[in-house]
Amino acid sequence: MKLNNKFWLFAIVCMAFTTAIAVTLAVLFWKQITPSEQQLLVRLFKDQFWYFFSTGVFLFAAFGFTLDWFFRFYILPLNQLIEETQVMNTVNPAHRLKIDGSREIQTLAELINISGDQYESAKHIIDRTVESAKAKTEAEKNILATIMAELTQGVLICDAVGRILLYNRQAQRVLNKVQRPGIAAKDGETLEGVPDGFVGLHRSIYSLIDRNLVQYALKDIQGKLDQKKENVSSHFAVVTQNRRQLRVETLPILDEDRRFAGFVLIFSDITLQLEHAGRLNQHLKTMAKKLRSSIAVIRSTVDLMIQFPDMAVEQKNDFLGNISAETQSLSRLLRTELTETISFANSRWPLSPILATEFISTLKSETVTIANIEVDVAECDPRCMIRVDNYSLVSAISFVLDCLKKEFNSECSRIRLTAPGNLVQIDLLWQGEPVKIETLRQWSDLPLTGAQKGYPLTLKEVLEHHHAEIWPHTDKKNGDETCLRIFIPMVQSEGISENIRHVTLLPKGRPEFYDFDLFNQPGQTPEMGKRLLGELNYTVFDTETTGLDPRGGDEIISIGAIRVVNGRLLHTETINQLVDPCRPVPAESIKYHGIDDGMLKGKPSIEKVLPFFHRFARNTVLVAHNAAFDMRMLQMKEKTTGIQFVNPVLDTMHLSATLHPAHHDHTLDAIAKRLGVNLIKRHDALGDAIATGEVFLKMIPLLNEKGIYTLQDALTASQRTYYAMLKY
Amino acid sequence: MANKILIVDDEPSITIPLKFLMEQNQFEVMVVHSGEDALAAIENFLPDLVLLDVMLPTVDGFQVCQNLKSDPRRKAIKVVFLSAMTRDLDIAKGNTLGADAYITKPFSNADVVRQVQDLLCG
Repeated sequence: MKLNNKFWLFAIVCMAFTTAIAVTLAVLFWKQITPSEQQLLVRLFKDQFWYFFSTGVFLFAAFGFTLDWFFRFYILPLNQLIEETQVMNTVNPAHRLKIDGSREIQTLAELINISGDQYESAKHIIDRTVESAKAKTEAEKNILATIMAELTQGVLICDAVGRILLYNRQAQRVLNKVQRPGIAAKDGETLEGVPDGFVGLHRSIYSLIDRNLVQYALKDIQGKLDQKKENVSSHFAVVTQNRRQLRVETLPILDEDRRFAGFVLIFSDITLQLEHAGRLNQHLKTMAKKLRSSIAVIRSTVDLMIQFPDMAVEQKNDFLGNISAETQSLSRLLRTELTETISFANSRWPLSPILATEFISTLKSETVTIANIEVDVAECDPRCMIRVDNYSLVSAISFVLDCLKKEFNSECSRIRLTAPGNLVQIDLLWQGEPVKIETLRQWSDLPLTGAQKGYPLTLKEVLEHHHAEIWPHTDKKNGDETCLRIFIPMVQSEGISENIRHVTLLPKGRPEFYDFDLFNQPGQTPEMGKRLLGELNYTVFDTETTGLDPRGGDEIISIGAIRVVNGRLLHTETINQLVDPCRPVPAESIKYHGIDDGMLKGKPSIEKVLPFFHRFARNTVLVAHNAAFDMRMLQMKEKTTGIQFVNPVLDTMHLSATLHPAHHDHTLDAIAKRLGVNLIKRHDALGDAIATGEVFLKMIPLLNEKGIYTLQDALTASQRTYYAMLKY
Repeated sequence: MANKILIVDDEPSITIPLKFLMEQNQFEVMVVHSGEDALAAIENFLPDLVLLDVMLPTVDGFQVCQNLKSDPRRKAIKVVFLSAMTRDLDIAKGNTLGADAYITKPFSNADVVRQVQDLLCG
């Protein structure tokens, strides 16, 4: 309730109470006097009615005027004094009290202002000392940031639940190329100002990389830690939508008690390396084949000429012609292809050495369909090792089993591991029809299912990266059993030399890299309402529109937004997007925001921009000034875009009314002036969003002083304000 | 009656000496240059042994072998791969399909003749 109304309600209650007491006393007095005295009083009242009436009116008026005067000169100024002193003591020490009120109140305000001057000067000295200490820390942070920025590999550090705590430019560059179907800009169109991917502080890594891949790597690391292995890193590969192939190395970060605190992802773009390796491989294969064929012809022909010296002349001439043609072919081979082949550098897909038996155990534990089937490893040397990208090879085998089930209605009944010579053979056996080579080749060109992010590899690509092949096998001994055999080259354990990555432990006390207090924060979504305002993530936004009537067809023409993480506005994570409203912008509206039809020509429509904004704001609390209007504009587009904003919403206008009920002006300009926030680009969507964000951050300590600590507290307090009644 | 040998290779330069070699060893020889022709020749010529290259256009040697070995009427026909693909993996693939021998190029004429004679007579 507004202070004004509250006061007058109080006055009315006081008057009613006073009147009730007066009437009660009059009744008691009436009963105590004799009837003759009562008659005398009635006569006296009738004779002097106008005298009594005017006295009563005068008394009531005097009482009312006194109360009003008291309210204006004492009650209201005192409340303003309290609110403005709070502003002065917390967010804006430069604020000074200018209050109209009684002499005593003005004297008190002057005294507070003098204390304010002294406080400001003391604060200035403390601030300078703190600034100097911070500058030193900042310099250290900048050194770290520079080193990170200059690394050729992308580095990304996450906490235990996958929230990004730190990343460098290279990580942003490679990961921003990851586009998801349905969200990416269509027809090659780019959305100006809207990032393609969302690498950002406190965002989830799982919105960029398939959760299964990372979880798989972490499980692998946990296994290595349990076995106390020296090398604790794990590798996997990611293929982005635009076919860039990334090698990802995962390293754990453990706290001082060796509990899992987070992980580091190191990205290397190996597309070019792999292309070179593929071409080299192809060239070598072709060369070897040509070489062998030519030598075979020459050798065989020469042998025949020696063995049968009396052969017919025509036959002999044919043979000599053969030899001549093949020697010319060999010369060409040496002149051209060999030179080209040497130019390709050798490289490889990220593969980790593993015991073949260990791989089979992993395969069994990760694949539901074969979890209970018999595994025969009798014919395999237990020391036998292979190099694999565990996740992709397990996915490939699961894919083959799925194909087998779908197309042949057959279930694998047994797995056999053998290792004759230099090859490890994994046999998938079942009772039923064998698979034709043609069918197998068709399966090879299909993408593996289950890959959620990026571009899925085909079966053939996965096998090629492993230098492996899958092949139908005819078992001569056991005719009923049909088999698909996977050949994987064996590696010699003594030949393995990996770059050993040791486990990283966080030091006691403050972690060595900044913003890492986030390691200890609870999950982002559950029970958001109970979380403290200072620890939540926010998306502060503003829209510019063609007018103020969402129901009457006014449209959004600009969206500006900025993220707030850990009590900081992230100026690197913003949206500033013009939107084609598909209707003209009225002249009176152009005067307000300066956006005309020409500026909106060729810009994306709201149907394209809104999904980006939705993704940008995921898992955050939305903050806006007069949010009811902006939310109504977004709500009007729910049907056409299918996008629904379910985020909690805070309104700085409501919060201001909660904080400063004695003030009547709660416009963004007035609040900003009150809280000492400079407005730089007013009536620009991003400019207003930044100003709203700064205002909001200044409001949090003031809300705390009023006992409003959590999101739920803020929402409840907002709902009680007069402004919460406004509808659009 | 002489044993019949079908030579399948897309390179005439190798089929000429091979044909001569087999004929000199008293075999009846037929030469074809593709996988499709090989499958047709198996039906018509009814060879006892096929000398089969792996890399053939359209239908490759592996497919011809799988076809042959999965047909109960023809599975007795011996298959000898003669290939320039010499990785362990390639040889394993050939053997896995039921081939009777896998000879890598370059080869010695004597080895080819010995292998063929062993399979047909021994």
